[in-house]
Amino acid sequence: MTDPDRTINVLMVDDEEDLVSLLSQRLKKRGMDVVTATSGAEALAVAEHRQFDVAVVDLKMPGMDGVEVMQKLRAAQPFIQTIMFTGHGTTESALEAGKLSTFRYVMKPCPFDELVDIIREAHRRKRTDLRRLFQEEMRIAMRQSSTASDILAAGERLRQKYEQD
Amino acid sequence: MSRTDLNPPVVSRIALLGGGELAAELLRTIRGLCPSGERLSVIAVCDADSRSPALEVARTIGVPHVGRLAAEVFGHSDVDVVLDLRDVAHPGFGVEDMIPRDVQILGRQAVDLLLNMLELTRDSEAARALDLAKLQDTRARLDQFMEFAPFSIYMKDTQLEYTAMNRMALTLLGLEHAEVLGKSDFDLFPSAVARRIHAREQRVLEDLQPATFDGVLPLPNGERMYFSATIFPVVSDGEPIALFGLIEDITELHHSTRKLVHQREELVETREELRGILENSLDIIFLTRPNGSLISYNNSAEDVFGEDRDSVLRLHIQDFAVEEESLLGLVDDALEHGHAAAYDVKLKRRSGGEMVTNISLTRVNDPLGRPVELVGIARNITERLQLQEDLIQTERLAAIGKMAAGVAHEINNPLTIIEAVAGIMEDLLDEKSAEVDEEIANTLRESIAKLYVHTRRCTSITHNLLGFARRSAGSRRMVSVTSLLDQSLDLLRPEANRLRLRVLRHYARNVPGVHTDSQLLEQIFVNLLKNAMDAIEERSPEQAIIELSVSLLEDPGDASMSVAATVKDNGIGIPDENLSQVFDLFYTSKPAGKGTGLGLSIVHNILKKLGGEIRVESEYGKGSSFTVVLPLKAVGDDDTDEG
Repeated sequence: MTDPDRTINVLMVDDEEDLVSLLSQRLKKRGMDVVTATSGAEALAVAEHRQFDVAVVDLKMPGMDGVEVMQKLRAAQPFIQTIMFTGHGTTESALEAGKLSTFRYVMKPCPFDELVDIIREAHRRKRTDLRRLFQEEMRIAMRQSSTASDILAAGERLRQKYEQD
Repeated sequence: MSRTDLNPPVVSRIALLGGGELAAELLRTIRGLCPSGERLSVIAVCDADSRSPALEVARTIGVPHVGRLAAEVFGHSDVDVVLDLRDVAHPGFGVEDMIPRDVQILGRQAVDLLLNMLELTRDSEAARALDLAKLQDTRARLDQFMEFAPFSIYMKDTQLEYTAMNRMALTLLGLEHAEVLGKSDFDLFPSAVARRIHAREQRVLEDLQPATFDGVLPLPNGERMYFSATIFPVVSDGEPIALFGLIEDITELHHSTRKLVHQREELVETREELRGILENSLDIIFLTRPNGSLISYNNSAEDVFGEDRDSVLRLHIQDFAVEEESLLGLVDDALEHGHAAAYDVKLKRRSGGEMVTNISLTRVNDPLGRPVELVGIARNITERLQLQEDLIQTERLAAIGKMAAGVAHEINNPLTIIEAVAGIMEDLLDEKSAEVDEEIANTLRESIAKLYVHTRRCTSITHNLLGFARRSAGSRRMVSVTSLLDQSLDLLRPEANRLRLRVLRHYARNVPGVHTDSQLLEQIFVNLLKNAMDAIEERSPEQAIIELSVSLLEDPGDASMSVAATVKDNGIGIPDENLSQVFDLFYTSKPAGKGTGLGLSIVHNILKKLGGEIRVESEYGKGSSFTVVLPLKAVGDDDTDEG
C-alpha cells in the first residue's frame, strides 16, 4: 500500500536537543525528511509553512506541553498522524493521548527500529485515510457532476486536497 | 333461807288478809322500804276485825282497797299475791272461792321472805345508784380521754354504728359530730371502702381479736387519705358489746414509701445500666486489691484472665503480662500517686498469643482515705498498632514509588540519547565498512552491542518502575488460572530446558475461572516462575523442581471464595531476616546485574490492583513458595494511581 518512493515528512518535537538531533540524523538515514523543533511554539511555527505526515511529540516540555502541541498541529493539519513520545509512563497521559486520537503512545527509550516501524505505520495510516476520504468524496462528486469536465475538475481539486498523486 | 336463793321480785301487787298488828307492821315496813311502790305495793287489806290496826294503817297510807269482807277486797283481779296472815289451817282457808285461780296464796311464813326480798331490793338499788355514779364518772373520764387523746378514736356498737368519735378523728375525716352518731360507714363513705371496713370490723366482733388494716379514704376536700386502722372489741361476759377503732393518717408515709420504692428501683436500674456498660465494654476492666491481686473483671477481660474467675482471683495482674517487668511497679505507683499507666504492655491471651495494651490503674479510697481497691483499664491496641505499621509501610512504598518514577523519567531521555548515539555509530560502521579496519570495526560493534544490552537493562528498570505493564492492562475476562500458569511456564521454556526443570502439578479439579486481567496475571506468574528458576540456578540442586498448585479457598469469615495458585521451588530460599522485605522496591537477592529488584514489588502492586494478595514461605537453602490468592468475585478496578 505504501509508496516506497514517497519520502515521509516527519516533525520531531522534544525539548532535549541532543535527542532530536541524533534521532533525526538516524531517521534521515532511513530515507525520511525530518524537521526538528525543541519547543511547542517552534514546532507550530514550522508547521505553518510546511505539511507533515507524522509528528513525534514529547509529552513533557516546558511551556506548551505535548498534548497541546498535538491539538494545535491537528487543527492546522487535519491529516497529520501524531506519535506521543514520552519518558513518563503515567496512565493518564496515555488516556489523554487516546482522547486525541494519537496514533501511538511510545515509551522512551524505544529501540530505534521499532520507532522507525511505528513512524512508517503512521504514515501508512495517513495514506489509507486520505485514500479512503478521496474515494468517498470522489464518488459523491461523480454522482453530483453532470459533465466529464466537472468530474475532472472535482478530481483535480480532491487530488490536491487529499494529497493524491 | 339465804338471800342468794332469792329470785328478783316479780310480785308487785299484794293483798293482805287478816293479821292485825302484824299486818299493820308489814304495811309500814313495805312502805318504808318501797315508798314509791315501784317494786312492791299493797293494793288491798282485809280484816274481819273492824278495829284492826292493819285497816287503820291501810287507810292512813291510802291502800286502794280496804275492808272487812274478803269478797269486797278480792274482787279485784289485778292482785298478784294474797298473803294470808290469819291463824288458820292453811293459807286461804275459807276464802278460796273468792280468790281468782291464777293468784298465788302465801301464808305467814312468806312474810320473812317478803321482807328479805324488799331489803335486798333496797340494797341493790342503792348499789345500783352508786355504780351508776361511778360509771358516769368513768364514762366522763373516758369521754374526756377520748376527746383530748392525741389519737383519732371512734367507738361503734355491735351494729357497727358510730356511738362516739373524738375530735381528732372528726377533724381527720372532715366530719361533724352530729353527722356521725348513729350512722354506719355506709352512710359516710363510698360503699367499696365501707364494705371493706365493715367486713374487717365484723370479723373483729366475731373473733374478739384486735386487728389492723390499711385503706384509702376519699376526703371531703377531694384528697385521698391513706389510713391505717387498729380495731379492738369491748367484751362483757364473753360477748362483744362495742368496738373501738384507732385511725392513723399514713398518707405521707405512704407517699414517702412509694417515693423510696421508686428511688430504689431507679437506683437498681442505674446500677444495672452501669454494670451493662462495664461488662460489655470492649476495654478490659478489672478490680484488684491494693496488693494487685484480682477481685473481679468484665467480659472483655476474659480474653486475658479466662472465664473461670475463681481460679485466677488470687493472682497478681503482673502474672498475666508476657514480660513481668512491664507491669513491675505499676501497682506501687498507682498506690502512691493515685494513678499509674503503662504503655504497649503485652498481655497473654487465654487462647494463646498475645495482645498489646495500654493499661492504667487508678486508686479507690475508702472514706478515711485508705486505699481499698485499684480500678484497672486495659485497651487492646494490637490491631491499631498493626494498622499503623501497615500504613507506614504503604506510605513508605508510595513515597519510594513516586520518587523512583520521577528518577526513571529523568533517566529515560539520556538513555534514549545514548541509544541513539550507539545507533549512529552503528550506522557509520555500516556505511563506512570499507574504510574501517576490520578488527577495529569488530571491537566497535561488540562495544556498541554492549551499549545496547546495558541501555536495555536500564530501560527495563525504568519502564517497570513507571508501571510499563499497565499499558496493556484494562480488560478483564474469565481466566483459567491453571492454563494461564502453564502458558506462563511455556514463555520460559528455553530457561526451563536449560535447568532440566522438573515440573510437578497439583491442580485441584473444578476450580472455577477468575474474572481478572489475564495479561497482568500472566506477568505475575512469569515473574514468580522467573524468580523460582533464578533461585534454583543459584543453589543448583541435583534436580531442579518447581511445584505448581492451584486450589479453591473458602474464607471462613464471610464464606467468600478465592483461588490460590502456588509456585514452589527447591532453590536457594530467602533468609528469615529478608522475608519481610521481599516485596519492597529494589530489594533483590540476585547477583549484581541479574535482578532489578522490581519483580516482586510489581507482583505485589498488580495483585493489589486485582484485589488479590501474595503470601510467601521460605526456608533458606531449601526453597521458597509464593502463593497468589485471587478472589472469585471481581474487585474494583482502579487505573488512577501513578506509576
